Amino acid sequence: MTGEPVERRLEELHPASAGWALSCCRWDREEAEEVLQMTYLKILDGRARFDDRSSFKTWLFGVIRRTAAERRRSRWLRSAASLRWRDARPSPAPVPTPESLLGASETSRSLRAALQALPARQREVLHLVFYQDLTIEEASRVLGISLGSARTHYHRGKAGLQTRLAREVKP
Amino acid sequence: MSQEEDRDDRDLAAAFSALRREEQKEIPPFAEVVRRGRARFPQRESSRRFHLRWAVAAGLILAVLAAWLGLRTSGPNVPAAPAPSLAEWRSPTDFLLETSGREILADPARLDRSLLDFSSTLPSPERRSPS
Repeated sequence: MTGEPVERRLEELHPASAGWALSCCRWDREEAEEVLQMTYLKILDGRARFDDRSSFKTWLFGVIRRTAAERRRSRWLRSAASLRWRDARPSPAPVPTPESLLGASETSRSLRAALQALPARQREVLHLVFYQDLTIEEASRVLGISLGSARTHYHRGKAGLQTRLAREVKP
Repeated sequence: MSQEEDRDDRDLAAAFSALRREEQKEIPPFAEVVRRGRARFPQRESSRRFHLRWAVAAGLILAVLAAWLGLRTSGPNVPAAPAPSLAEWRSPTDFLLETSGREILADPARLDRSLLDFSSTLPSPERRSPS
């Protein structure tokens, strides 16, 4: 599957992909866009190929997730190397842009904060199920884990998220 | 699923849906993301060429390794000592099999002879004291 159909399918899924990339990059917009760029180029240049073993969306989300992990690793290696050889400053933590803060409602802000406090797997499963409307089985395929494991992360994550959200509402 | 759980799920779904609506407003269009990506990461070499490079590098490493191993094992040829024939060969621990009293069992027992041979322990007749 090459050429225009892939590009069209990527474009159709672009809003969902952007949301998933944001979640994979813990809502760091700059990093999420870079991950999306790398993912799209990988696919359009034929370095990542869809092999029809799952749905296109599931596969695409898997590529985005792996690209985000690769980027995080290379960033970490670069910072480790610069710490060793140069008098490097630690990279600043992602700061939300003023426009995103202005646009975000109180509910979204607290949901994002509660999600960020969850372990990565739980956050990912909840995002895929509630934000992307995937089934737990599809989420398990995106994450490359068993269905049972995905179910456990889903239930624990939901409980954790509700506790955190309730704590924020009633301090 | 209990009613309470169902309501919690609906609340969570509504919160996620609000988050999605907000985030979707800010994402750049697909074409723009690809264009910026092309500008940031110039066209990478094709995967075929990339794999070819790796194959050549791996081949070179293997060739160097094989040459090194060959040099290591092919030392000056010293002729090996001729192997002893099987009939001549004796085990270095052969003596352990020679247990005491083995000569007693060398031939079958006879009725008119004692198994114990005292002749070697008795003094010879010449050395016996004259009586």
